[in-house]
Amino acid sequence: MDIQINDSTIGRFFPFLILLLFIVQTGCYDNENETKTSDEYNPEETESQVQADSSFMHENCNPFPLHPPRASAFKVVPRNLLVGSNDTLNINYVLNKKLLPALDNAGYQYSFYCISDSGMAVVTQLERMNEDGTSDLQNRYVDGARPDKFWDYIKSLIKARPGFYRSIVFIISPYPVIQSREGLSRDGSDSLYKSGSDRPYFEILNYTFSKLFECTALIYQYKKPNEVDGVFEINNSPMTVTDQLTKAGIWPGLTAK
Amino acid sequence: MIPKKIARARLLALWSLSGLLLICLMIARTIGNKFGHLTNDAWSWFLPTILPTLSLMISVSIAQQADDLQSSTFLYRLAFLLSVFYLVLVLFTILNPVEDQFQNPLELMKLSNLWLGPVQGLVAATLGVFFVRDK
Repeated sequence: MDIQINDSTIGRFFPFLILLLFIVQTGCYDNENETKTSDEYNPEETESQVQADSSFMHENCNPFPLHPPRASAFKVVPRNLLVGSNDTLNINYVLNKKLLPALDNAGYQYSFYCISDSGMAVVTQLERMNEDGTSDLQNRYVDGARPDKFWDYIKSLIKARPGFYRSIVFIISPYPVIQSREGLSRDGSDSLYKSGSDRPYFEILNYTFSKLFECTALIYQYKKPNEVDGVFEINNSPMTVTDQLTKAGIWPGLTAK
Repeated sequence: MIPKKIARARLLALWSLSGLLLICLMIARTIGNKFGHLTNDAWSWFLPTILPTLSLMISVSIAQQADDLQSSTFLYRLAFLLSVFYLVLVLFTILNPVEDQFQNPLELMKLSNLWLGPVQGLVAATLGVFFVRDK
């Protein structure tokens, strides 16, 4: 069967052809447009944009005090726990593979600060702890909880229940940590956590954790001697940082391979 | 009617034993650091709640040891029940099982004066009549 295309056939379908061409053209244009204005997160693109705009970080940086408040105890976390003997690993590894998993496993909440343009601080939420340094898991973030056992309750009517509190700050910075002479009140410690940002500053994550960098743990400890008197900061903790981090369950997380 | 000597001895025993228990509790709570820096205030509240009545009872009992008087059973029971009620209120205030609702134990102690004052007045009046009346 021969198909004959004559002028009248073309004339009949010509408007449809024009419409089809228009639709195809419009579709292509929209696709092009979408590619250009897509809101999808592209880390590489965002990163390059941020690097291009050097003022971005300073605008979004929630700065941690250059001289942190005087801590109850402090210690530089040994490098071999964080990166071993590898000097090529970056801060991203130290933070996301070591420190944060250790904090997560120990059940801590935390927030972030930046220090100058190349350091970072991780601040844990103020927690209630036991006198021996272990976390009070039942009443960790609750104040004034009553004892569960009857005998403990009777005892609590006679004997004051002192409250022990702790907040831990990890500073990853190439600069030496020089503490201020001023301490930090319990409320100050609480608001320090709450004022931090919810995620680390990813510009800093790309820095190599070279020998210039150290991770310093500062522990702020508080005691409320009874239900009447106020909370005071413990200036010199009777426990070492290693002991406290071990009992808090963080140290085992750092040492885990 | 009840022999006054017996009734008086029972009331004195009630007050003496309860007073001893309350004092021991106060000492324990003081040593247990429950009152913190408000220890003086706590004792200033506590002592007037039992000492005047207890002192009156002891002194009258010693002064009137040898008598064969009879006393109204109703008056004796009223004095006994009011005393028990009052002492339980004082015990409740010292132990303060509702401490979570107050910033410190002294708040309940101060507040309790609202009801302890009138009850103490009634107890003192009843005991006064019972101990002083000669019939």
